[in-house]
Amino acid sequence: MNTPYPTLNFGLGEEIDMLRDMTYNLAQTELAPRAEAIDRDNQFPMDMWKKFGDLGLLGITVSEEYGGSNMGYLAHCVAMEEISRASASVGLSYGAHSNLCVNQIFKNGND
Amino acid sequence: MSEPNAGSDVVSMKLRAEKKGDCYVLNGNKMWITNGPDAHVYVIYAKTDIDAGPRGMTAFIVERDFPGFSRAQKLDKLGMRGSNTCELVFEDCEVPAENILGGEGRGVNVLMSGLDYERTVLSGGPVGIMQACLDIVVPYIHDRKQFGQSIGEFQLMQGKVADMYTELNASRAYLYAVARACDRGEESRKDAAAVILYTAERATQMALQAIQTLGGNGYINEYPTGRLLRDAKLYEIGAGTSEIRRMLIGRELFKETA
Repeated sequence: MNTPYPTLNFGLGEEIDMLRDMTYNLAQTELAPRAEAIDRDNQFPMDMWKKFGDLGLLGITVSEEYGGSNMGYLAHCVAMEEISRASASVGLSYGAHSNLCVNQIFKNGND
Repeated sequence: MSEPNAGSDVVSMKLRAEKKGDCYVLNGNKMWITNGPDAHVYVIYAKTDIDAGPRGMTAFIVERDFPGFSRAQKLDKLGMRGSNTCELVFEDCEVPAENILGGEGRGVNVLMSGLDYERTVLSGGPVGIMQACLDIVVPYIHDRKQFGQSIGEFQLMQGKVADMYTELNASRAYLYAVARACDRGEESRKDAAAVILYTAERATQMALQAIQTLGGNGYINEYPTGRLLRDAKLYEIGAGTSEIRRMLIGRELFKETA
């Protein structure tokens, strides 16, 4: 789980552990170093959207038929956790986009 | 979904959507809209029948460039800075009927079912903040020396990190259990509200403890603990306040056992 101390293995499965590592690596290298400036300047780092999208995080609960990665809500929580760990404000925007907007359209929309 | 005068009482929203031919004409305001300044596509809850109570609500997909739709000034918040928030303004904004999401008069179902997933997924936020607290505190109690030893040698400090570790892992265990229930199609309104109630309050308290562990350093902006506190507090307010969550959990529990 990439913690600075040994911790419990929650047994979330290989797929979600891989998703966590991937999200952790992106968030710690590209986001954490900018978290202070994002807070100070009140400016969202717009380039992060593309990077989250490249990892399949934006449509994480959307089926593959609609371009999502179809990993479900547990995976979504883990992605939310690792992004928020690096920058909670970017995490909040990520959650609002991927759940409140994208998932609502996926669940309730029609063709 | 929120409006200047419809927060916890979300169903009292006033944004009107009047049918006109193949369109609905939207008039009113939305408040506290996360990503509002930046988004291209919005899910908007409006009243298509002002006298029908919750059944008069309809969800619409609104695009940024629709005439009559605009965004007011970005808000200057205590925390969650950079997560851009603003008010949305609708002045005779025409939305095609085909942009209705989930059917006319079904907005309350779209909104309420979505809230269970929203509260579950957003709980990852406070859990991430709690991990960030430990990411800072654990190395710090080794590095910081007082009375000739690492402050982590002191039992009061060990007690602090013990509580932090325990609360983080308890939060994770509950969050993962609720998320897995969602994945099985067994989402629970009580537990979605309970997991964000619990994790949000724990995150604020843990950020305070992280500040305390760092002492003077925790109180200056060169260290991130102050930001963690300001960010954590949002989760006791956004996606339903702690008060509304308690009301909802208690009411459900009482009703279910009548």
